[in-house]
Amino acid sequence: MSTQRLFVTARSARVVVRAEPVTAISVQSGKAESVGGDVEVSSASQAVDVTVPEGTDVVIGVASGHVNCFGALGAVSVTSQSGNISVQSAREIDARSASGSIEVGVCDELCRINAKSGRIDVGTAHTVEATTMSGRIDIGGAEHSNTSAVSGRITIGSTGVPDIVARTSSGTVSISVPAGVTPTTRLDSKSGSVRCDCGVGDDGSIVVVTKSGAIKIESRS
Amino acid sequence: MTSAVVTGAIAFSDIVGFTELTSDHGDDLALAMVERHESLVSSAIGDHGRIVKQLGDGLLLFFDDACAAVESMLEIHRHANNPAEKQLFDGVPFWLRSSLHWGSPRVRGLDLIGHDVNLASRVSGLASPGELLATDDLLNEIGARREQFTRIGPIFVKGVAEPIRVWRATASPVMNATLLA
Repeated sequence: MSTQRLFVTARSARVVVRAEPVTAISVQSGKAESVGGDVEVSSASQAVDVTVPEGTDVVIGVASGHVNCFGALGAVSVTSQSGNISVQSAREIDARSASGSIEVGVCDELCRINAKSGRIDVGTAHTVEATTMSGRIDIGGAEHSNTSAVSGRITIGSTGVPDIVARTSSGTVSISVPAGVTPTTRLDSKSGSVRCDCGVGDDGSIVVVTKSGAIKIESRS
Repeated sequence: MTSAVVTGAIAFSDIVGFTELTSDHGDDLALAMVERHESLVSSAIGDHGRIVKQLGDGLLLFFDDACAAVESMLEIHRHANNPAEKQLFDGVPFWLRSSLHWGSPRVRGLDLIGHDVNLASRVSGLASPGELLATDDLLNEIGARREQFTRIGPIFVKGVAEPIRVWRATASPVMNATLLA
């Protein structure tokens, strides 16, 4: 694991970070300086392109540019006002965007995401905490998830025994569990429809609370 | 024209998704939420700070002491995360988020005005439900308690040239954690 960390600040530039089997951080584009053993890169509008050793921790802040992280990173933190964020693979992720979309491929530990209106798409993660106002949340596979949306829709694919909490005001919640899994459920919609196709038992837990959204739980064949 | 300057912790607390919730569920619910928010904040901060003013669904707060401010803001979230709070609005989510910044705003009567107030307000916009975010300036005032925060990406604030370093309180409760209670 790399002990050198990368910090990137860019106003309206695109930021690309590539994790590769190298031994040190190298900056292909962007103004770089070394601070206490870490590397800080800044840019106003010129694109930032940096290669880092696999497992490097990265902190990125942009106003309006897109952020793309490739390869296997360590702890990744990204904030963006309006740009889209994508992280292919990381140990841990904290990503926030006011209006951009956020896409995560794989996260080994905690994946915390906040997108006000943009779409959130997580491939697989150990634990997901995701929030949106009007955007949509899609989680392909997670062992634990805790999601909230106001009007946005939530779709979750559970891997193994589910540990799921989802809450919306009006957004629909759809959850799929592996075939044969029979979780404890609390499905509470004040005025939306509730449908649960999987058996009820003690294989984990699914809690969904919504004011007016529909709830659908299904068993994957 | 000059006015007094006061130095301390400036905080914002607001209701997540308030515009959408008002649109979906009406003004009566909005009013009830705003009143509950104010009551909950008053109770949590006690004598440590004061509510400066109400801005829509948000509250501007001021504290003389940075450590007391951190504890008070976390206390607000602990109160809001109480299972009993979730029963108040018939299934409609009542989520709060907050921010803290250390600065020296101008005093205008009981009000506070200035760049530091604007900055604290902008930072709260990036917080998730139940989350407390703080700026570098605030962390510089809390000594060893800064270990209770983890750094997230710098943010750009409208009208401010330099990016602002922001930290997340690791003790921020997850708002849904007590749904099962």
